[in-house]
Amino acid sequence: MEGSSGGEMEALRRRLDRAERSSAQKSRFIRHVSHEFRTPLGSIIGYAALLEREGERLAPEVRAEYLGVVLRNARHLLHVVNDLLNISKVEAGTLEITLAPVRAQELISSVVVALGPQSEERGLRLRVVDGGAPPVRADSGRLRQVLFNLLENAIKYSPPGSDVEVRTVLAPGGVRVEVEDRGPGISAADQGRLFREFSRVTHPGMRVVGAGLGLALSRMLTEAMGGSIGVESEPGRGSTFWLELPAAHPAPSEGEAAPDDEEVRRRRGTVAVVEDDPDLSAYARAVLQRAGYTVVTDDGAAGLGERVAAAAPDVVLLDLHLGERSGRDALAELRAQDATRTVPVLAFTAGEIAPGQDEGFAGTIGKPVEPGELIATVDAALDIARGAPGAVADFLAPLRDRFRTGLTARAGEIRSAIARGDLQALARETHKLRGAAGGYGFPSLAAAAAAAEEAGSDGTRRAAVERLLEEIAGLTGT
Amino acid sequence: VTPPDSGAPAPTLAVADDDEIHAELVCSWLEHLGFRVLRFSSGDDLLDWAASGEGRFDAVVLDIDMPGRDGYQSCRELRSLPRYARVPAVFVTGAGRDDLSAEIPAGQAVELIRKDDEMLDRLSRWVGRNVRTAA
Repeated sequence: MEGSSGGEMEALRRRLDRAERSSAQKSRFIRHVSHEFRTPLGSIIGYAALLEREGERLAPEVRAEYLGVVLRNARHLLHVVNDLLNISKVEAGTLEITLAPVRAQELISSVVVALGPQSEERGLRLRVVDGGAPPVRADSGRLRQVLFNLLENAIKYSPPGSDVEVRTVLAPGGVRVEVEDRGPGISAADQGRLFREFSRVTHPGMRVVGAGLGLALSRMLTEAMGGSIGVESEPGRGSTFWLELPAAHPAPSEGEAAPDDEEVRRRRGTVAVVEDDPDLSAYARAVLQRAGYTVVTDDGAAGLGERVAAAAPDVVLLDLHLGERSGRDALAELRAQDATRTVPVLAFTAGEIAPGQDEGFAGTIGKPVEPGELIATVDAALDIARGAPGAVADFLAPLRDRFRTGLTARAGEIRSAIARGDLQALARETHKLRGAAGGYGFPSLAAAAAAAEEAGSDGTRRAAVERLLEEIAGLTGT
Repeated sequence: VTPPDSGAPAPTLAVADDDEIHAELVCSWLEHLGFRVLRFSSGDDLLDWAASGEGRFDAVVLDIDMPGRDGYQSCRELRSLPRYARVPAVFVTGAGRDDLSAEIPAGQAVELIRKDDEMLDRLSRWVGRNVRTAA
């Protein structure tokens, strides 16, 4: 054996050293987390206390402002907690990652839409350059998260009025996404720390919110998907964050894109998209058409009820903020038309949905929405609305057999109730049998049970129960 | 800062029906449609669970005639809990009733469905209209 005691001592010392370093890191991490929590919690408690004490006396707009602060901080905390949970899941190896072919370009489009308001606020231009890259192998939800982080950072650090560019280009064996900003840039020393937990690079005079977890999490997620992430930057010259992911299909044959799963399953039916933003409307149309749906679009202007009804859609996607019009009014307009009186209507919205605001809607699709999620939501609404012809019968057949078999026991209960003279138990049995028989699709049994339940006199009851037992015997073949 | 997880769990429906065999039918159908189903054998059990605040459901299917609180009473008490104030409710009944009890405010996503051979179809259409189907 090689392991001299000196060698073992050395190995032990190294392990101890590592453990101590890791423990020190954890302590630092906890300090950061606590700090990240204390500030927003302070605001929440402060404003909530103020509202509790003086809520009555405050002007409504002041109250709304205070509540806004509370909500904003609470949401921020939720984001931090989500990031932390994800990080700990990655570290514990329990994060679920489902790798499938994903078009990075589609995710980028949806993230760009989501961050539109933020970039407009700062007067930035988001430019998307589509290098025609093939699908990558990734988890679409996680990849979206990473892209969201990179783009959001670029927006945060960009000087007002500048450009942010997102490019997808071919890379050896895969696809490279680059996000370039004209921000202050990052020194070589800072670049190394950037992708570790709580290592936000701060610039004097810049107020940046966020827990500094985004890039650490992005690195973990990217690596968990088999990719890599990094940055090229120089102080004063902006930064280019990049990530590389393996291609979904190792060698895509020229000019013939491999059909992804969504394209294989053809769907039928008409989807009406009522949306006043032409870009979003075109996006939804493209996604749903590719999935096989017939799509009609409407900008939601006056008279939308009649126009949409004319298309006799099977499902409607309704933007909740059509200019001045509320989603509720638009829904009422649809419900006033025969052709759309009962079709499922899905609320399409970028904002938070207030409790009750989604009443009457068959579901909600948040903007931005990924193609797979959009298709799945529409599919689900349709499957349920249609109940697919024959679906009930197919579903019922085995259950009906079981129900029929169970009838013998029910007849026994009825007989024993009669033998005991327990009219209450008899009434309970016949009542239950009536409902169940109806639901399972045995109408004459249901009718016989109803007659027994409702019989007024002993004589009619006896006769009705007799008929009921005969009915059961006929069904059980006894 | 990251966007919230998009993998929302399937919507959950609560079913309260004292008849095991009928409850089985309704629950299997709803599960077949892709919902999570919480099953209670009485309105009392449903209320206990709802009041405990342990979890939540997105809509409720109530048998009308149940020992203890009946379907209507269960619905009223359920809706007195803030988180279920507007919970969509559907009533199923084996008795030959045609109208919803006047005690239940109409227009709040309520419907009466008879236990007959159209029940499952009507149930599908009702959940399609009143329960968020995804994310």
